[in-house]
Amino acid sequence: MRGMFRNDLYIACVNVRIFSAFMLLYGIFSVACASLYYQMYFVLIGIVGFSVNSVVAVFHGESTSKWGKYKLTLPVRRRDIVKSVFLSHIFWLFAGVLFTGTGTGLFALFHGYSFEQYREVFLIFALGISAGLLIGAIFIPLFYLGGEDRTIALLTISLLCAIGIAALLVNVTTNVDYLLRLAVIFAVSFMAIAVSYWLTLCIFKRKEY
Amino acid sequence: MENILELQQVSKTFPRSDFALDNVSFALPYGAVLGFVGENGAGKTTTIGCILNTVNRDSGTVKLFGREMLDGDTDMREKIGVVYDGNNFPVYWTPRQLSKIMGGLYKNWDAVLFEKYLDTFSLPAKQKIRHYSRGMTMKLAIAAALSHHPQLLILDEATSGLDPVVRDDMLEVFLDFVQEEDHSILLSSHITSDLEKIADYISFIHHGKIIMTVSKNDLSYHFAVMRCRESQFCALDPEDIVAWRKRDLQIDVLVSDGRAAQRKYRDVVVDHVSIEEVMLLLCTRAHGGKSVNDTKGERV
Repeated sequence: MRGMFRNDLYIACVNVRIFSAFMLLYGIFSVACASLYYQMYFVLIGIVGFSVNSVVAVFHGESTSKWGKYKLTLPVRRRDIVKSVFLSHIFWLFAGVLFTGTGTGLFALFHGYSFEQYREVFLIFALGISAGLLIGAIFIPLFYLGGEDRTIALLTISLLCAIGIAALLVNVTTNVDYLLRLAVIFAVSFMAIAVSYWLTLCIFKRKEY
Repeated sequence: MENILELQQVSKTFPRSDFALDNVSFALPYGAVLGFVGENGAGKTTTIGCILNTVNRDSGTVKLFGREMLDGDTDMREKIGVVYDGNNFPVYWTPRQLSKIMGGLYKNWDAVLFEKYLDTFSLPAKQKIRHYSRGMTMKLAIAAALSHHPQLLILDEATSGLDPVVRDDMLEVFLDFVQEEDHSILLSSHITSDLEKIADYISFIHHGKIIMTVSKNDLSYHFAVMRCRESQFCALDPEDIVAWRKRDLQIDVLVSDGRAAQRKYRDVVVDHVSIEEVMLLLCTRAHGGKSVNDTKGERV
């Protein structure tokens, strides 16, 4: 499992490095502009972007070589391969949270937030984490089901659905107590990733190369 | 003789195409090289997929090291090295990264041995695989397959697309590998000259069926091809014919005992036969030849 996880990290690193450079520039820009809207987009794009990068990178590696088939000949179980993909996805999601959290912290340091603005920022983080989790929850099983040929279409569908569902979660919980609202958003998202993991296991156990 | 690999009546159907593996059976003893030969689309890769569980077989058994390999049998996969044709690894890796990843996967990964292979094969350790030539990519895959001290090597068209010099180097490496008594190689290829050089046994597959499994010694010293005119062909005893193929001015007939055929048919030219010619004789139908579906020759 260790080697599998390292494999998925290595593969994502290449893309994440480039994305991080872009986000760094955007972060500096948003801090310099002192605009809360830019800052919120920074959080959303950062968290979602890190998640997307990780899933795309892992599966891109499989579609450009026989690595997907080769992995099955290694001394790892199919379950461990799937586990590693999900762990890698969650790892990069939280790397994105850390990255954007640092940027947000700098913004707060330089410009400060009102109490209401703090609540909005946390909600944006919740939206980003939810969307990031849902992208993986939708895309990963679809990839193993739909095949390497349809990666772009599946990713597009997953991205749109994930953002839509996350936005819906935020909207339907508008009249709910703030902390409960955050709890519902996180609970639904983590449940989705758990169901997705189980579904992916079922799909991958039967997958042939 | 104990077998490191044994397939019994393995079948697999692909509903969307008319291709099926049909009761494939053969065995690979310890310390031997089995050449698995067939034309493109014959079922070599599918058979290897059934062995390695990358393809779910419909029926039959596959035994590795004396037992069936399930998904949880990671200890068995520790002892198997695999090389596929083409890019086995993501192209943005370097061999150094590959070594680190493999070190986390194989208990017996030998990074020193891997570096030695990189050096022997002149492979730059810090260069991305995308910048490697095809020959270098295959050498890297072979180095990775050998560096965790496997007992069984499964090579699926691993020498296809390589120039003769590189192919010869690789065959030397494989011969070196089987010097150990408990090491074996399953080499699938349609490049019959490679199999002539290193195989101990040859298994011919055609349209998903094993049509013959024979030792190379038998092929070399017993099997022969008779070059007949039509009138001579008509006089042949059908029991003596393994397969035949009509060509422009003659009919080539494969026989299992060349010496006996020479004695029996004194007016017919009897030649030694190569693996390539056997494959052509066994597989062709287009020239009016006959193929055999049951196994002739000595079973392994």
